[in-house]
Amino acid sequence: MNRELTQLEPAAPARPADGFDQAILQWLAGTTNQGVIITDRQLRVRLWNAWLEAHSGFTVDEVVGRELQSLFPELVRRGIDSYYRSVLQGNVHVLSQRLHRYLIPLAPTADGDLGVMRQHASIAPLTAGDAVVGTVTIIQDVSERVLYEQTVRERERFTDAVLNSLPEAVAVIGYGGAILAVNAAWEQLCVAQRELRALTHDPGHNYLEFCRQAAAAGDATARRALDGITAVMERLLTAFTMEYVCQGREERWYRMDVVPLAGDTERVVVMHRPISRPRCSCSEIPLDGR
Amino acid sequence: MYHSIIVNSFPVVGFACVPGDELYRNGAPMIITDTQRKSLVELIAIAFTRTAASLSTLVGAQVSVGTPKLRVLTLADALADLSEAGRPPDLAVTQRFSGVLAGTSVLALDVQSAGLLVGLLTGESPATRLNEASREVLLEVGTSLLSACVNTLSSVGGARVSFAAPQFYHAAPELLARAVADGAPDLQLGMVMGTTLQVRGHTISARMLIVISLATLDHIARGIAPVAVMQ
Repeated sequence: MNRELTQLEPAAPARPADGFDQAILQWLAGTTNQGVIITDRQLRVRLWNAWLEAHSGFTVDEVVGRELQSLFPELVRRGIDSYYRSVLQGNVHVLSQRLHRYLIPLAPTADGDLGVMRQHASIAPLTAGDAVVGTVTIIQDVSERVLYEQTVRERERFTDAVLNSLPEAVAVIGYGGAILAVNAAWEQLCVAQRELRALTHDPGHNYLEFCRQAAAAGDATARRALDGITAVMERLLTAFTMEYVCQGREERWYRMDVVPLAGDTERVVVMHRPISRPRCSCSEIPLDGR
Repeated sequence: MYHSIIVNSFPVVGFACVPGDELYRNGAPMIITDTQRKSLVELIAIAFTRTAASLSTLVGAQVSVGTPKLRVLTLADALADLSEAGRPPDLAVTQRFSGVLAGTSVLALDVQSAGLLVGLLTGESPATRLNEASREVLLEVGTSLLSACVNTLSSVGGARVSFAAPQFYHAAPELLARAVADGAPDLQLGMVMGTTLQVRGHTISARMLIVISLATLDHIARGIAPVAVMQ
């Protein structure tokens, strides 16, 4: 048990002495899976819980009675002491991991190159009546989450890099036609050709609607594309391919491939790439693959 | 435009007004004059400037907060005013405060602005979805802005307030509406502040709401007068 606990008792509001408050303090000191620091107004440590003992290397005996700033001089260097001063004025502060990385240097708890334990911290005033008599700091270890986010970001970067390396213009289309993701070649194609501006990756842009409008205006190629994409989307076909010509200053031929997004039941991948000359106008691969 | 509500059996009329916000209690007008409003806005702007300076140091880039536009409305109108084009805010940071001044403060953002703000503050590309790490950043920044604002109001009233732990609401307008008034039927008024945050050359709009009681507004109004004279 933290030997300072009894000294905190006078700060508790006047309530029947049923031992409940003492039980809460004991839980904070010994059981909770978070770091808990309680200080007085001079920021001298009054409670340093078992979780902090395990992760800081400081025992209760080594820290109780000492000022936080002397235990961790970097709190001053990093300006964290100003948050504590603000808390002593009655304010509550949240210190996010993304902006601060950590509150106090604690041993890493996750594999990887994080260096120190990544923390999310809340600092609040400890009050007795209207008076602020100290501070309470709660520290959460978010290292595992940070590592997971790093892994996801790296995977996304890798996927983007692969997609952006492809010469084909690639887009992922959601059910209903919304353009969910595109690669660099797709963006370049849409920017280069004014009539395709509506297919850039912006909210509200809809590939099927684009084809539908062109088909309604009498564009037979758009009608074929619409039917093919819809058939793959509804999983009536396992793939759809068509070759088509774009009339401009010069005639340019393209091939469009539509395949289901792997592991997905609705979304499709649409690819366009330039070809030198047409081989066949259209092909459909039925569900049985024949 | 006037919106009438009944509070404690006497009529209260709240409206967004220029030059003064008038709230009637027992038939007698309680007025926030234009001068008082300007003083209040000026004080809040100073508090925001301090908060922006702290954020600038923290993120290593210039952060500034625009001078807020302040209106005093009934709570229902104030909550409606948080909506953009009839759509409730995607997310909000709230914090209750108590003491001589009591109420709830709210920072409301749409999800795109929130993602952009987090990206700009962390120096990363704008977040397209708000994960827990992003929500924590918004909680930190929101708490700083809200407490700066409430501290300003409490300082003009010469009172001290205590703050509860901030809460985060995401795509839950009903929970947010309940949170700002639940358990405190006297909280009938909302001070709505539209403001902007400028970070790394981008401007992000945000709305703040301070939900208070008539008594709190009265306290603030009485406190502003000497400040206005001093200025």
